[in-house]
Amino acid sequence: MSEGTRSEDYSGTYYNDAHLGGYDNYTWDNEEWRAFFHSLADRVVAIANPRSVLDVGCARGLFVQALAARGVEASGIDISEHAIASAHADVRDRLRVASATAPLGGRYDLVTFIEVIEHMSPADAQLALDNITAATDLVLFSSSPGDHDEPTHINTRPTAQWAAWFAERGFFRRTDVDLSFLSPWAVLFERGELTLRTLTQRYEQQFAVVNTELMEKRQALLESHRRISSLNDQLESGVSGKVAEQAALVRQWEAEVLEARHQLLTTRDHVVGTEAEVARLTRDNERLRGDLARAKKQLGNVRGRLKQMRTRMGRLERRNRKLADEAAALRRRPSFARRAARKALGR
Amino acid sequence: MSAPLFSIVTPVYEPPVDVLADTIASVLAQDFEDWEWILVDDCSPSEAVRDLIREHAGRDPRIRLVERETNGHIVAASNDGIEAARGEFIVLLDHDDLLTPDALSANAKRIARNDDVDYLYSDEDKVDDEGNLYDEFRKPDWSPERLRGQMYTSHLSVMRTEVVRRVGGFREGYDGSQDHDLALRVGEVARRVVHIPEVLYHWRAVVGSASADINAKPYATIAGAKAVQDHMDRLGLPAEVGQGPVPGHYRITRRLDPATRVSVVIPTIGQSALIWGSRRLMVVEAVRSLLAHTEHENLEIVVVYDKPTPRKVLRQLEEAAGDKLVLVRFTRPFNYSEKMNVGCLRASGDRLVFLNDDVEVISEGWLEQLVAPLDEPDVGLTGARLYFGDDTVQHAGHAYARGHYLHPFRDLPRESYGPFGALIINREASGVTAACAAMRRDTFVQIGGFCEALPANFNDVDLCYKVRRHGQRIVYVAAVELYHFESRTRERAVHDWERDLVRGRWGMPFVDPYVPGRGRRSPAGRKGGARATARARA
Repeated sequence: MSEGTRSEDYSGTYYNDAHLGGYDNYTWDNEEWRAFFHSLADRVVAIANPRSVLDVGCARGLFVQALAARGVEASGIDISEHAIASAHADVRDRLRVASATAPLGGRYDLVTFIEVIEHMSPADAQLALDNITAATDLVLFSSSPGDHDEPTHINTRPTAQWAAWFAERGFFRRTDVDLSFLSPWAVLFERGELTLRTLTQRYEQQFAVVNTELMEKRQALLESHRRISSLNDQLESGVSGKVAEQAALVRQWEAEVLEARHQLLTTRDHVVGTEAEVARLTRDNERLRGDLARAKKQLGNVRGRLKQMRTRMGRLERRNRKLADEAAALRRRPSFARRAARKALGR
Repeated sequence: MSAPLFSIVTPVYEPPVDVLADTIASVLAQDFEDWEWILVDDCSPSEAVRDLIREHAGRDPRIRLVERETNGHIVAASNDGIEAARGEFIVLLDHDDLLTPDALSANAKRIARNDDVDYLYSDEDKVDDEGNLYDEFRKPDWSPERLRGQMYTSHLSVMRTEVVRRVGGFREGYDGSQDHDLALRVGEVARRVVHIPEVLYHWRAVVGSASADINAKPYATIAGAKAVQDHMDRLGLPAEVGQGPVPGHYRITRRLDPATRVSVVIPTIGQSALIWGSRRLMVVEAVRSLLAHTEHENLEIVVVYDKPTPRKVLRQLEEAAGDKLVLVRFTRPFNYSEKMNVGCLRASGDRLVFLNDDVEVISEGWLEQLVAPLDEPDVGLTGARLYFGDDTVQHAGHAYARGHYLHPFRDLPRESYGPFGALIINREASGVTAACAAMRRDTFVQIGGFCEALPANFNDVDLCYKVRRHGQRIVYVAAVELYHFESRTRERAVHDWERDLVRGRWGMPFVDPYVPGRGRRSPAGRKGGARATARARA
């Protein structure tokens, strides 16, 4: 049998390390905790309207203080000396250090026993249930069935198990009360002489609600599942169609890019060729200009020589004429030999 | 005395005195005055050599004799000359060779024209004991790739003194090829290299000297390969340099980065033909042989096929090339240029290889060797050595000259080395055939691909002009060998308008810069046809 926890397990560290979940600084001065317990007290008063309440495992008595504020004769016990010692001054007198394993002394309209029993050893837990059920007819009970990473949770049980142990002591779940604002597993147990019929009917009512909800949710789940599959199918066929369409488009674009690059290539060839041709024509032009200049110079030279020739020709012609005249004059005058002959012949 | 333009540097070691006297006379006969001459005697055994030089130095203050105290061989002696030089340019003259009278004036003219010139070289021939000139070597314009394959710049080399000193002059350990080593190092840094297409140097073929028989000096070719290897290493070009089939010619085997993506683009109509007695589907065999002779994996083969291509051909291509194959259907009327452009645009490689479908690859590693030279940014296009089916040369680079677009080495036997080794070394060319050529993708796009106005002929000629216009070199790669089963009897119909279009863009070609014709001084007669410049010197 596992061991229970002790007072030292609930020192300042326990409270400061926020094992209680929710807010920091587990004191009455903390506005958030205060508001939480005021709200809880309102709910409890509204549900049970108790005149006297004992909060077993009251810690720093925050719930007791909230109930007292509503005129309820509230008190609390806790095994943690640190918790009681560090309680708020206004509530300090309503609290004492005690364990539920001992008789509680007195009777109460309501005993609240919230998130405590899972910290006790199984044997102590049974003693606590005995003592609580001896002191009241109505128990507000909550015990985490899990949350095992909290080191002091040494005795967690399914809520059904606690309910069975309460039933052994003549306490049954008030199915008309819903405490889910406190915790999903919170139960209001009340002493009752219930017939099997009544009990069955109560649980059937609960079962029917849950069962109906379950059925409806299963149906909804199935429908959602079908809807998802059908959407999935639509999506897939849509996507594959789109993909094929895009692929065709990509192929078309590729062909267009190829065509464009081809055009660019041939254009470039054209430009390169034209540049080359311009360069060639420029060279040819320069060469022809050179040729022309040379030809012009030659022409000038030829003209000069022509002029010289003409001058010389004129000179020669004049001389020629002169010589011709002289020759003619000479021809007109008979030669010396002829004249001598004539004389000799006497003609 | 102000510094002269030229410092002639001549290391001297025991030349026949009459030969040296001829050399001296050729320098004194220069029609240009602004020079000094440093003759470095490397401890010649005969005093007569020094006496002759002293005699001339006494008469002409421009001539200086530097006498070494120890025999240091050619490198040390030449470096002494460089050290003593005061001129702006070093002129390298050997102790038994002859300068033409205009050698220095021809160089001075070019220097005056280009003030950024760092290296000038000119044509040369040989002179025998009788004084006969022969074996004229008409050289190509500046060809850095060719200089790796052979020391073609040789004589007469004129280098800016400052540059020679900057690169460290001649280097020990390269005896016999020290001039090649220096030319490579000067070529690497030269701002401008000028070729003078005139014979300015007569190289004396004395038996036992390198000019007559390079086999006389086997250490020289070992040093030469080392010099070229150093050069490739300096430039960060991964390659191995080995001996070529003739001494003094080097084979450069480059490494292609396996990450380089290559696209081979082949146009086809799926024809079959009778080759060596059996019928074959040409394109299928082309693809099989190209894949069988390369280890490069990052490769795709883009086949651009015309509509009539038989299904069978496409199926066999798929079998041969698997997932490397990209088929592109071409539905327009035949236009070689357009087909190639379409294929190249579809290609995904950074390097494009143009390949005809009527080829068969012969050489191992052809793709690597064809593509790797394109890693040099100023190489724009590479080409191959192609043979007809009867093992004669179909193509080894184009030449554009005398109004024609020529295959200058056509019909030489396959074993031929070509004139001055032109077939067996890599070298620059005016153009290469697109039957097998490679280009970077960026170049292809920038120059506008193949000209589609030339659907059948001269589209590769135009492409080559465009590449060179783009400022890039075209390199013939000797190690890339293929059969090209182009019918040699078929005269391709060439239309005047095709030739006119090319001439319209690029003008009339007269002299090819890389394959100069014979006898530039006597203008070549119109010989016509593709075989005109073939010089059988095998």
